[in-house]
Amino acid sequence: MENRNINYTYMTNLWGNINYKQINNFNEWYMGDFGSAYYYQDWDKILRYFAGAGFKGIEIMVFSVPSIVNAFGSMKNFKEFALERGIERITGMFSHHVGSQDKRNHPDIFAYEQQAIDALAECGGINLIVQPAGQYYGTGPLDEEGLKNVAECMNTVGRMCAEKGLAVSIHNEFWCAVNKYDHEKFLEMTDPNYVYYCLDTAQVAIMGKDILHFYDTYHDRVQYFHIKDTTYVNAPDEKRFGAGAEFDEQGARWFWEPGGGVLDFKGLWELMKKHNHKGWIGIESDGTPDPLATILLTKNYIDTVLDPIYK
Amino acid sequence: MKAVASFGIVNADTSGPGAFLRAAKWYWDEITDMFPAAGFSSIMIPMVPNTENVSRNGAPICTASIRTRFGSPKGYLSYLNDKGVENVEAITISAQSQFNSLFETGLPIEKFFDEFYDHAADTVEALQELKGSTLLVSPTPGIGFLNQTFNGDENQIEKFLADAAQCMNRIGANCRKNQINLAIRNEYWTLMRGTGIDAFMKIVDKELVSYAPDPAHLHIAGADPDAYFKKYAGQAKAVCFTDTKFVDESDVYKTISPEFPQDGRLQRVYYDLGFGDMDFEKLYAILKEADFDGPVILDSKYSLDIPKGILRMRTFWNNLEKNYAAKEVQ
Repeated sequence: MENRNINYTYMTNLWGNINYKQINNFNEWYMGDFGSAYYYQDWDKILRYFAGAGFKGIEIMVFSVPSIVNAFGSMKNFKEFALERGIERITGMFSHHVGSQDKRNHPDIFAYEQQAIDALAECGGINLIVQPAGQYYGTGPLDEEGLKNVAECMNTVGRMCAEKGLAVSIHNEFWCAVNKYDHEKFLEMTDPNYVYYCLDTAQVAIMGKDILHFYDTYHDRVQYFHIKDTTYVNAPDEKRFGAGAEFDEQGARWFWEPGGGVLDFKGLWELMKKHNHKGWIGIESDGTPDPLATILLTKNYIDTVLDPIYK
Repeated sequence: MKAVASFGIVNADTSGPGAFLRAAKWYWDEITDMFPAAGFSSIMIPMVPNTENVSRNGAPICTASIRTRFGSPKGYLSYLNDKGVENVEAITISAQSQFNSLFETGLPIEKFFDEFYDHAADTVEALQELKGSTLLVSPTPGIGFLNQTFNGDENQIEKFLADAAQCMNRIGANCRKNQINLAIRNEYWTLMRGTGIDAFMKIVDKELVSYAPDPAHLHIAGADPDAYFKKYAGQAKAVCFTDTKFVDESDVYKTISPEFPQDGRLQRVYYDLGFGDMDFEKLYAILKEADFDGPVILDSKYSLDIPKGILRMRTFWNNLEKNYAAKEVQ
C-alpha cells in the first residue's frame, strides 16, 4: 500500500442487503428476464467493484452480520474472502442504541452490542460506529436524565470495545433523538478515553452545524469520518423531527457523493492537514440510486480534489 | 377463487441499484399504483416483526411502519382504497423473520414463541382493520438455524416443533375470536417441509388451523404438488401460487442460507409466475374440482423486474382462467 496518512474505506450500505457470497451462473439470472441482476447480488462482485475503483477498505452495517454469517459461515471467512478480492481491511461496523435514554434498556443493548463487537473483532475491524439513540420522532427531546443515560450507554460500550481492541465512535444522525440542541453537550458527557466521534459531514451539516468549526474544535475526539455531501444544510426542526425523517416522503435526496453538494471538503481536508490526521476515512453514499456511478465519482473527487490537499 | 397479488414480489432485502430506496414511501406509492393498474384489487403483504430499523421506513413491511406513515392500519386502508386496492386480504408472517430479529432484539430463544404469538396478535389486529380474511403463518425457522441453535440436539428440536404446534393453536384461537382464518405455509426449509406437513397437521387443532399448500415449496422439498393440492383443497382457507425451477441438489434446505443457496449450479429459487416449471393449470383444475372459493395468493416472489413482474402476474392469471374455461367448453 502507498505510504499515506489517510486511506479510504467505503460503507457498503449503498448496495442494500447482499445475500449471496458468489453467484455462479450468469444465465440463471439473465435468461427470461434479460436484466442486470447477476452483477449486483453477491459479495464477490461488489467487493471487486470497490477494489477495482481503488478502495482498500470497507465498512458494514450491523444488520448485515446475520446474512454475512449465513453466506460465509463466519466473519473470519468473510474477511479472507474480501482480502482475496483486494479489500485489505474491514474497518468498521455501524450499529445503534435505540432506547438508550432509558436505563432499563441498557442490558439488552449491551447484549446486542456484544454480538456486534465480537463480529467486528472477528473480521479484524477497528471502529464500531454508533447512532447513540433512536429517532427523534417518538423519543426526543431528551431531558437531562435521558441524555446522561445515552452517554453512559456509550461509555459502557466504549469499554466493551476497548476490551476487544476496538474503538467506539458517535455517529449523530440529523434525525436522532440526540440532536442540534444537545449535540456538543452530549459529546462532552461521554468519556474521551473510550468514546470517539465519527463525523458524518452531511448528517451534521443538515442538523445545522458548521462542520469545519466542529472539527476544528473537537479534532482530538473526531478520529473517524463518514464523508458525504448534501444540498440541504441546516434543515428546519420540523423536517428533522418528523416520522422516519431520513426517508423523505416525496423522494428528495439528502445525501450526495462528495462534490455533488455544497459542503466545503477542501476546507475540511486543510484542517485534517493542520491537525495531522491519520487513519481510515469512511465514505458513505446511502441513498444513491446508482452505486457504481457514485463510487467512481467519489474516487475521482478524491484523486483530483482531496489528495492534492492532504493524503 | 379470488386472485390476490402479493407484495412479496419486492425483495426489500436485496442489493443493487435502487435496492436501498425500496425502503422509501415514494417507491411504494408508485408500486402500489401498479397493482390496480394490472387489475388486482386485493393484496397480500408479508410482514416482519416491529424493530426500530424497519419501523421508521416507508415500506409497508411491519405494522409499526404502517402506523408511523399512515397513523393506523385503517389509515393505510384508506390510502389503498384511494389507489383502487379494496383490501389487504392476507398478511404473511414467518418464524424465520422472527428468528432473524433475535439478533437485533437480543431476546433468548426461550422467549421465541411468546414473541411470535404477540407478533401474530398484533398482525391480526391490523388485518381486521385492513378488511382481511387470512393470516398466513410459517411456523418454524429453518432447519439449519435450529440445528445451530440447539447444537443438533434432536430432542430439543422435537420439543420446539411441539411448541410451534401449540403456538399455532393459540394463534388460531385468537384468529377465530377475531373472525380471521389461520393458514400455515410449509416452506421447504422448515420443520414441516414437504410431506412433513401431514404429521404437523395431526398435532394441531384442525378447527383452528388450516394448511395453505404452495407448489414451489412442496416441489423443492420433494413432495408432489398435485397430490397435496388434492389432499388439502377441501380444508384450505387460502392457497399460495409460487413458481420455481429450483432443484435442491445439495440439501440447501439444511443450511443457514436456504433461500439464497450459496453453492452449486442452481442458486435462484423463485421465478415470476408462469416462468418456472410448476403446472398451475393442473392445480387450478384441482381447486375448481374441490369447489375452492378462497383467496389464491399470487406470489412472484423477489421478481428481478418488479413492474414487469406485476404485469406478468396478470397475464398469468388471465391465461389460467382462459385456458380452464376453454377446456370446460371442450
